[in-house]
Amino acid sequence: MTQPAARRAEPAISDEDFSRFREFFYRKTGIMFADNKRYFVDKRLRERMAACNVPAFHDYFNLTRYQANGAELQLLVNAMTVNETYFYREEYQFRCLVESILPEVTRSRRNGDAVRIWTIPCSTGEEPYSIAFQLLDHWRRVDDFAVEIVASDIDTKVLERARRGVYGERALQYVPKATIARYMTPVGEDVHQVIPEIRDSITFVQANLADALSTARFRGFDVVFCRNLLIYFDDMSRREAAETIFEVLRPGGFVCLGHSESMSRVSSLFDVRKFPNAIVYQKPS
Amino acid sequence: MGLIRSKLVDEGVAAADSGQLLDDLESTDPAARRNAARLLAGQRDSVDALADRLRVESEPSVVETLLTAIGRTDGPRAVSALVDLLRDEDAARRNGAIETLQEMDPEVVLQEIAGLLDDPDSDVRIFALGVLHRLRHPSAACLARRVIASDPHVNVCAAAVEVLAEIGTPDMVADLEAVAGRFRTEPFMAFAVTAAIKRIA
Repeated sequence: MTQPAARRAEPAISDEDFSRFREFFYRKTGIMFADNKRYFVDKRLRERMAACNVPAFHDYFNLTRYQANGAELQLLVNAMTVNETYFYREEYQFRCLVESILPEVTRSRRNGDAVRIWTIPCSTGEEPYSIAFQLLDHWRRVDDFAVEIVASDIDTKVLERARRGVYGERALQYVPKATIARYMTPVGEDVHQVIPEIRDSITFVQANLADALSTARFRGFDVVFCRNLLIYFDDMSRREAAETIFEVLRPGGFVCLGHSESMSRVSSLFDVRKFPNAIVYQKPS
Repeated sequence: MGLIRSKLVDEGVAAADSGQLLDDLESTDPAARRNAARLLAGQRDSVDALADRLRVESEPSVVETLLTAIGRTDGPRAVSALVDLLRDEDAARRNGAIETLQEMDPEVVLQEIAGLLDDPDSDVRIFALGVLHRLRHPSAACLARRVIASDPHVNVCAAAVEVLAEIGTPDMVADLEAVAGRFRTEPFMAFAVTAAIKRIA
């Protein structure tokens, strides 16, 4: 009879290691982990160290910092980010989009002109697809313009899932049945996939709001949805994120934040706009 | 028309060299100046150029971006560049410097600010206390306590009382009562001290 294998000791991550890692991760992503996130961070670090077969924290830390292609850092970012969301979350903002924002944005546009919308972070795709459904169902001028939806996240793994567009009952609980029938096909029990025409019309691309260079190619947007991201940032990173959004917007463009977030507390770059369905922020014309 | 796939973001943008970015800081186009400031953020050898531009910049959006870029760079030179702005006549630039200093390395900021609390200009002392208001440093309250014990200017002491109302501790109550006594002919000081003691005692 064989003896059970001795349980392998978990790799040690000291307080100093945690502090150094936290500072490094913050510099790279703008995300600052408070002391009470220590367990969460340690657990994911140990999982990645085990996956790489690197037992010492020092060696793993060097790998994430100096690996030429940055692959392990990206995998670590994927592990550290929170991706909880669902369709039609804070749906009043989507109503504001079609009833107030887009009519104002397109007031002086000609038929055929581009209308550009960027959602960041898009997580597994629920938000950009919700916007697409909302436009197709409720914006009567959707066919008058070339509507481009670009969806970004720092996490490449969730972008792959977003491109597949497959969702279960929980993610779809607030979507009208008729909308599901129009724009999704069943692919299993209580599982649906967004139809290819809509999936292929949305550009999913990785971006990091904390990195000015990675967002330099994003320009000329009319509306940015940046919801429930700034709450993870410290004050300085929030300011940088606000400045990035300012740059990607056209003059007169709009930004929608999460219901607990306020641009006025972050930056004076934007004007507050109160519409019947929502309060949003506008880049001055 | 309708939903179409965007080609806007298909191509990456190459990193610009620092020399070009420094030239762009002087561009006539505010968007180019903002872009240069954002890309120079964090580069310590760019602090002087960012600070030079900030001193003459008049476009508010560029001022805000320059402040963030210097704040992100951190370190003694960056702190010193922003501390200089506490003497600036432009209120937006000055207030922006105060807010940015509050978010920088508190150890470095405190060293610079401590010296300003003895500045002959009472306005500078008040602005320095404005920085202490939200500085995450355990000694910030002690500096404000020192001010209420000795500063001869009522408005400077009122600013220090405001700091203590936020970050003071119960052992500072006697100092607060003393400053109210020192300025007993100023009713607003008694009011501010009472409010501060209510909050911290």
